[in-house]
Amino acid sequence: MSESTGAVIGINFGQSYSSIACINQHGRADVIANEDGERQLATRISFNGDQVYLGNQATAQLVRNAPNTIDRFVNLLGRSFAEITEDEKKRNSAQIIDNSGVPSFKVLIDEKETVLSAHEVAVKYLRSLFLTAKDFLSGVPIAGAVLSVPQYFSTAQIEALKKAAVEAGLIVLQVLTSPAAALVAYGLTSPQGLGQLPSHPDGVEGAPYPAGKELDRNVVVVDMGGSSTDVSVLAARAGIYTLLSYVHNSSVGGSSVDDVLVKFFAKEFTKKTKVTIGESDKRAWAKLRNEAEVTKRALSASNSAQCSVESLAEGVDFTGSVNRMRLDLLSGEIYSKVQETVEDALKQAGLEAAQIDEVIFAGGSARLPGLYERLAIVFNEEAGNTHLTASIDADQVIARGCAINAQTITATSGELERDYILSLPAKPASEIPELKAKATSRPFGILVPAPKEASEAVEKQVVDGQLFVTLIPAETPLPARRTFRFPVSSSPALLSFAEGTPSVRVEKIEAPQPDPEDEDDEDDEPLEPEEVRTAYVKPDSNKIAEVSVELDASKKVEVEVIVNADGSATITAREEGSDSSKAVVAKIPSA
Amino acid sequence: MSAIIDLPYQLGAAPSSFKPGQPSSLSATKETVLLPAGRSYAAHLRRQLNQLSFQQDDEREAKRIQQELEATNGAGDLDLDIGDEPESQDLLDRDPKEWKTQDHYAVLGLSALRYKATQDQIKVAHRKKVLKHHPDKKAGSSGLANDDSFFKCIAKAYEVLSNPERRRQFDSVDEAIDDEDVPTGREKPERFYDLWRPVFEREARFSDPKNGPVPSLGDADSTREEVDHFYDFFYNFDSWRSFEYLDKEVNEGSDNRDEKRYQEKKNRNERARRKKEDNARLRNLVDKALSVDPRIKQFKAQEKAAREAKKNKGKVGGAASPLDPKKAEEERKRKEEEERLAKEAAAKKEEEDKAARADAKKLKEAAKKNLKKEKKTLRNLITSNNYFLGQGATPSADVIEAQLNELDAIVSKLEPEQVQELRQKCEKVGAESADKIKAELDAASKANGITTGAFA
Repeated sequence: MSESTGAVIGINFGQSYSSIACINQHGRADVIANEDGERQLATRISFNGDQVYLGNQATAQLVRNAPNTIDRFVNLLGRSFAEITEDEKKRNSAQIIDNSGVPSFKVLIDEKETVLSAHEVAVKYLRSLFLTAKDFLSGVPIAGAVLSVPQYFSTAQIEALKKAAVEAGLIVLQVLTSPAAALVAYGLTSPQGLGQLPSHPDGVEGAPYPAGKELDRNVVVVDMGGSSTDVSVLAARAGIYTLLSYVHNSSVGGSSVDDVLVKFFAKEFTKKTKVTIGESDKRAWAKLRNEAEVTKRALSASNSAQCSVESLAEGVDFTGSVNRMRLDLLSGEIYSKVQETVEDALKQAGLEAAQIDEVIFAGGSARLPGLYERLAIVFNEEAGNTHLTASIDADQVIARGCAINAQTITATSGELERDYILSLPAKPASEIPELKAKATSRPFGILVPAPKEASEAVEKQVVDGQLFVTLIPAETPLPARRTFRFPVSSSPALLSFAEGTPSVRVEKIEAPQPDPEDEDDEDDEPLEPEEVRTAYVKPDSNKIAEVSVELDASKKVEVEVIVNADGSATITAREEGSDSSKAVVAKIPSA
Repeated sequence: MSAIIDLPYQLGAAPSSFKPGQPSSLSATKETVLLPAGRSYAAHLRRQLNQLSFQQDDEREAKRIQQELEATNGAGDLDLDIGDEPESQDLLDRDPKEWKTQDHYAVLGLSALRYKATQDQIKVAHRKKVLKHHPDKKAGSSGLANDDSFFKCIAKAYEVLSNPERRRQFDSVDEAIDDEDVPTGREKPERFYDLWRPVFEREARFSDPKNGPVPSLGDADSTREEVDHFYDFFYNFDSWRSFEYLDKEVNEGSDNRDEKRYQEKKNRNERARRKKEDNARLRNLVDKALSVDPRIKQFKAQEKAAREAKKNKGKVGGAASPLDPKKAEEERKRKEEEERLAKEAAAKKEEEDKAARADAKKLKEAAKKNLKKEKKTLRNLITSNNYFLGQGATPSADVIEAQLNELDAIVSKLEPEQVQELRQKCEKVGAESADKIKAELDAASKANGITTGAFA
């Protein structure tokens, strides 16, 4: 960020909450706070007389002034009234009306009935975000912004959002899908510099990845927002990302958790005070919902939390407390739905949980500890093959990713690349022909003899006394280059390269029989045999190439593999540190 | 080169009879869609758009990084003597509590650079000063364990100067730069550029960067457009100068909101006042420069000449025969002579006129002085003749008033000289009879359109 060029910002313009990130003085992305000190700003506008409330101030207006409060309007952009489902129309705030096909809201502004289209509302709101950022940056001009959109947004929706942002005064550099933004926030698998490995998303003290997974990982992004849950499976290959599958589930989100909490508290309230909250008492429900949301957030940080509402119904106050375990019990069904969505996405990508190397959490509701625990079981985190990453607060990931990408675009050294990225149309990536590229279809690797002293996880990957070490996995965009270093047993060393089929080994482990002497265990049912799934690659019997390298047995051998866009490849093997003239080169023709 | 990944797997030995076979090809590639995000995607684009192989790109990048490194190191070489200014005892003895009045640039040893110092230079200077004045180093030598006051001054100076916003505030009121150091305007025109250039360069430091580069004063050869643009820029100068730094501290200790607000309001007004003053100061300064700018005078003369030439073109004989240089030359000379003569004559005439005007003015003034006297004499004439009613009769108040009012009216209508004339006439005829005076006055009032007819 330099003063002459101006600052860049990233905006996560979500259906329920929005956030803004900028690059701070240390060059890192940071989510900024508005004048009230809030980093998560409710995507909500409320009109009361001549006053306009935005963000979390508008939340309070939901109680007393619901008909003049507009929320959940982001998804309406770029759609016609006919396209909106009944479910979306159902809301406690201002109702959507049909203004000659354009979804609009009718609100009282300064005692005058005014019809605002979703576009106008979005412009108003984005302008307030822009001003917040401007205030925070105190005078440094804003040179550009990257906005995030959900993956499912259509061309019309993306274009409408961009139009609204431009009208609000922003210079839109790019509209980025949220899973991509999440990966960029972590800089996942992206080399730090020339000849350097990527940084670990958990910092230097993060648990190391299994050997060979530094540059290439299959990633699941679980984006659980306020009103929906999106699961995407991506291939992250040396910092270049491709989408493998995507599932959007609008039936589950943070508000579903609020629902169960509200139900729970309402029951408690009735039990304690013998007062029932009437179905039509909208104010009471709105009050309780607002408080329940606060309680839910508190539970992400501490083990138990209070919920108190003054004069909830019939003038009776309510105070109740809830702990994490209770919340997890109540939301078990919600977690199951998320789990189903994840499994659905995996199925579409043709992968199993064991073949996923990393899970990233995004969206405010993904902070729920119960969800993390549930997914840790699904992906068998204990086995150490899948890494659950949440070192950046899930509600900040997307905005930060957007800011980082804005920075990447403006700071890139070549004008050619910058102009190219800026000229990309505002469309879903799959509809932009310029983004099409070739990728490998099967993993390419090297066969080594089964290591003698290897961990259990590695042993399970051995097939017929040979271990397939993946050098270039499937779904790697081309051209690609990787360099590896192996120790050797003796000279000359044999390097045999082959392709393989990704597979999953399933082992059943009989549960230990309950101790017959322990009499307390009598009621225990016999435990189900546990399934252990391990991902491995089954090598083809045909080798692609075999070479031998002569070297000093105490030295290591360096192998560089370059796969070109046409599918041809070059393998260069040599003793480490020796010059290229002594290297053994194998050229693999294209198919 | 790409990052080398170390794998723990040992390679097997090749059998002695090993012969490398013909490599077979990989499986066919598939289509995929890249997500346009991240550093690596930018690098991918760089290779693709510039059509570089991995190795070529590596070399290019390494070169670029090397160049950037050299550029920053080069700047570092220039900064070698940054912050090495001598420190006066006064400076070293400063009280860190008095930081508002402290010269932050002097504390960091940057008083020669001041607002021109870059952030990097400030950083370097701060590091040097910290190393030199760290209390840990001093504890032993001076004997005073807590002698860290200058260290605190350094910290404060860096705090102010490293923050762009606060640095602007300090630069706005930097006392070491004298805004009043402006040429008087009576210097020789040849020195105009040398004298005014530094003044405008000093003012230019407050220019908002978004207004683009500040035009320079230029020199005697600047074109009219350049000069106009220069003055336009400074007349419409958008200054970021602000005066928060001079705010009176709001008493943080007191909980009295009103007191705080009062002080804040006072500060606000003070800021606005200073800003206004500053804008006025700059405007005056530009006015002054404009009035003494030799180029502007030259342009005006040229304009006049062009106008003259245009005017003369239409006349017969004027600039008529351009084909005959000799004649033209003669013509020009003649014209010049004529002009000179005309000018002289005009000057003479003007002088004469001036003298005449001065005389007239003098007379007028004298007459004005006399006017009162004249009026009194006239009134005396009227009263001494008993308001023209004949001896023994007592004049009624109405008559007296009417007559005196009419006299006033006459006097106010007449020029002082005419009043004098009238007085002389009246005195002359007054010797003969009172009625003649009355007739004179009646005539005078009639001549001036006064219809009250008190003297009829």
